[in-house]
Amino acid sequence: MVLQLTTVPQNSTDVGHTIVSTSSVTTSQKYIPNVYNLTSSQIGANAASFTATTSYSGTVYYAVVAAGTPTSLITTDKIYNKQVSSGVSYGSGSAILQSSGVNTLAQLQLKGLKTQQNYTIAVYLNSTIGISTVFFKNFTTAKASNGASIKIAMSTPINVTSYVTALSQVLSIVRTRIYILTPTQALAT
Amino acid sequence: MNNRYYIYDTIIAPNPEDDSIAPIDQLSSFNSNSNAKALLLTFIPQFIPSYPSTIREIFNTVPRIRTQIKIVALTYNSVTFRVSFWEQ
Repeated sequence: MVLQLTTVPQNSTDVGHTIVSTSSVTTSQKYIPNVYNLTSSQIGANAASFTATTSYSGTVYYAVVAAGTPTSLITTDKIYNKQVSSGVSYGSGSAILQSSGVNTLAQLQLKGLKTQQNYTIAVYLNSTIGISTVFFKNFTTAKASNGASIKIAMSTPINVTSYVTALSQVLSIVRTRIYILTPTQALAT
Repeated sequence: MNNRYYIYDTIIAPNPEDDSIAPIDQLSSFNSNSNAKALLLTFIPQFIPSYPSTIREIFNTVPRIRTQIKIVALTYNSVTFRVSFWEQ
């Protein structure tokens, strides 16, 4: 038996179907409480300034913890109650819709930091539509100022301990910041 | 007649928790403040306020390696390295 197939060229024709409507499963992200970004405007030796970009207006709460703290230990409840085990600074800022744009920003002023330390800042947004997840960012504080020395002259050898105590009171600094080198002798006319 | 002075080189370290006033500013303020010097004189009568004190800023240096790292002891389950630096 022989089977024979023959192809015939077909021209495309308009069958008359029209797309009436479409549907989508994506939803708008704008009204979900969220912290999009955290940028540092200034990081000093003992303080830092951050700007948080959020999806909605509300209050941004933050905690500054030692870098390396497991993120699982940093929850919104612990940030709000200032109970993070390695927390060194807490605070909040108002997330406000900017008049000249669509961004909602919150300014955060961090204080009480130590120089040349690695920290993690954890923030979350508390708004009328709910609480966001925690957003993390690492940063390092700046180096402290250089030390300085001064040559102080005495007429006779003195008790160094008494001298350090006196100088700490005059300069209003702690005694542990003062170091005395072995005195040298000089002749003055 | 010459007088003998005893010069105490006094170093102020920075404050890691509050760096708002740098040590060199603190000492410069002291050096130009007669009241502060008078106060120190009450505590330390041997202090000579008229002495022209000089102030220097102390810059940190990066530690430098003096001799490269080398193995000084090696066993089947331990190894000891040695490296030396110029500064402590």
